[in-house]
Amino acid sequence: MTIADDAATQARKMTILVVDDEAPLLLTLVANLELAGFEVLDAPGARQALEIARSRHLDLILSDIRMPGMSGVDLLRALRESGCDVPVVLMTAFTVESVLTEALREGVFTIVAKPFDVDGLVVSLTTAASRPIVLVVDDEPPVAQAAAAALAAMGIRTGSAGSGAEAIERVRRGDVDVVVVDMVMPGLTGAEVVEQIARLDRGIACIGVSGHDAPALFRRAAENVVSFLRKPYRPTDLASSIARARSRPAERS
Amino acid sequence: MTSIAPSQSPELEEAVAQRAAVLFGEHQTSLHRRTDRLFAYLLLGEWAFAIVLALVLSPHAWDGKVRTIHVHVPIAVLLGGVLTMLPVFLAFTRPGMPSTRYIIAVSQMLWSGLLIHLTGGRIETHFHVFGSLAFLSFYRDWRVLVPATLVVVVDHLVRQVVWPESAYGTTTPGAWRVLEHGAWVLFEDAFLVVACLSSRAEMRASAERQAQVETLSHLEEAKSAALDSALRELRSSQTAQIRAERLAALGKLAASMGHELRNPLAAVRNANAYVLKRLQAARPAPDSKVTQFLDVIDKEVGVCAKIISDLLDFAREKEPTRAPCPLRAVVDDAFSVVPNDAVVLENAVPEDLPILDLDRDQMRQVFVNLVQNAVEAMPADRRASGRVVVSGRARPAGGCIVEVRDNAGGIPADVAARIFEPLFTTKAKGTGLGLAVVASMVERHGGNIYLDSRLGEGTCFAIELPVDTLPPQQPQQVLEQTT
Repeated sequence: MTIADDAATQARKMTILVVDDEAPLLLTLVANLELAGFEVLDAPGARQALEIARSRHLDLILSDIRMPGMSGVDLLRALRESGCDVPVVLMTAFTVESVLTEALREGVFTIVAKPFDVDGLVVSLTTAASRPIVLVVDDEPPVAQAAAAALAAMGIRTGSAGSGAEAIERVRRGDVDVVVVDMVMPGLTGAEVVEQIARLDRGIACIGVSGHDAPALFRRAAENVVSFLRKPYRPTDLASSIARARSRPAERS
Repeated sequence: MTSIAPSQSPELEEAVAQRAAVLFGEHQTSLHRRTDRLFAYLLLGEWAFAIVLALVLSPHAWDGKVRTIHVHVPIAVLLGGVLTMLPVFLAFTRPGMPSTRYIIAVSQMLWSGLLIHLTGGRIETHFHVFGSLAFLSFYRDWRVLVPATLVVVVDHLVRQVVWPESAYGTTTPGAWRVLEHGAWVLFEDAFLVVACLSSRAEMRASAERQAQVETLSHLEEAKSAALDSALRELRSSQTAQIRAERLAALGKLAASMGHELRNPLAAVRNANAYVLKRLQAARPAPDSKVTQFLDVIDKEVGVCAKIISDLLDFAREKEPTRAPCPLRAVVDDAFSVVPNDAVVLENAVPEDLPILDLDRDQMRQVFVNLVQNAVEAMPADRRASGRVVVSGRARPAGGCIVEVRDNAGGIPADVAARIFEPLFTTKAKGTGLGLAVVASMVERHGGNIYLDSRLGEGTCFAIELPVDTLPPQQPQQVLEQTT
């Protein structure tokens, strides 16, 4: 089953809270999400959203960033501080880099840019609500674990694998939406891993990392990889790449 | 020394003195030449006068019963010629030379002697001596008077002894007459020498003043030129600054406008999507135009969104986040985004093109804009055979060059010169920012973009990308790794 298939079946069961201070946007978004099969609640601001989150079970919160009073990032922070781990997707018309970085540090699932494609958004939301993990693959287990831990510290759900074969097995379980793969590995190389993953499910985004210059592997993997990163990288850079990969469905017009 | 500008530096004074010396020399030489020519004409005149004089005054001689021309006539012609030819020749061939004027001086005074002889020692003719000396002072050179005076004195002395009638008209002039004539000559000489010297001093002073004026005027000119060029620079930097301020203001306006517009656009898009879905599910199915037009709304909203993105990309100037970026895949990505129906897009980027550290999103934007520009530039009559080819090669010095080539008919030179300017466009629609964004993104990567266009054929945009020479971003938190 692919992520896209999941969307169709799971949507019917999920409760989404939409938060935006712009009424027309809120209205039309709620209508579209209901049409897509979600149960939708709405709030015109962060405070009302927090109240609803405290009183109801939610599968996902979709919120605008720039709102009067508390921003979407403040909302996310408040939720996490109160122990609520509901996946949050933020929307933005135009936001300063520093605020986006802040949102990543607080563990936002992804940030979608307005205006977005509704069908694509539904895919991203369904994925987010199913709480997938980011799988970090590196032939050196300490490295994979350290990376996974760094991401987890930012509120991202992660898992790790020590080889290409292990990674593919893990992906088959169906709860991985992003794979961070070391390009240079013995056995199955990173390039081969991403090829196999693409065959399994095109909805899974792959990010290639490497400490060495491996042009041949980069080239081979290029069409299946969303972005590359050079080691050593900052955790926020990786989080940013992951968030970007997760917003792709909504930004394909 | 009288100075017009009392406050002058020693170097300046030196320069002025040099110039004054040059000017003085020039004036002197010019004076000498003029005076040489003057004397040449005078000497020729005297020769003619002497011949006439001889013919008129000297009576015919009687040699027995034969009347012959008096001997004075051939003397006038021949001796006069001898006296005149050399100085006149020198005056015209070597004017201004000291030897020329000394010879002229000698010759002039000898002419005095000859004229005195031809008039038979007539006392009034002696005045020619004094006149000639005065004329010689035109040279303003007292040295000229020396040979002149010597010639007069020697001539008188010799003739006093040998042929007194020729000089004084009588055979017994008296010994003191030479002295008397000599004394008058010296008397005149004294005043002439003083006159020459003071005249030269005046000429020197005049030359100095002229040199000073020249120098001052040069200084003024230089100051004025410097002021002019400073003013021009100021004006152009003011223009540049105003331009930069305008662009910055545009950027701020674009940013706030973009944000404001994106919310309504999102609402429109969402509403449209909902209506379309409901209508598609409705039975009986609505008129096909209904769904068609809703598609139009969606597409046009997309166009609006793209315009806003262009504006914001231009305004935002985000630093590239560099990561290994295989360009062939980026070009494929770009091709998939550009709206295109007829034009053939070919990705000829070699598989083995060196992989540079670039911002993938920005590079994609660069290719999207370039390819879209090429596709939109394809005129209707070329559409069927329209091709856009993206190719690339490594640079020997490192880095690579990527080229986007089209056969859209080329760009005229005056348009090409401005094509990367923000807000410059020749299309009926479009923000004019697409290529400005491309140039800005390429430059932020440390690269360059060039344009080569042939009218009637097509255009090639060449992007030079260097190997990243900056050290990789220092991570704040380095993930531990053993390799």
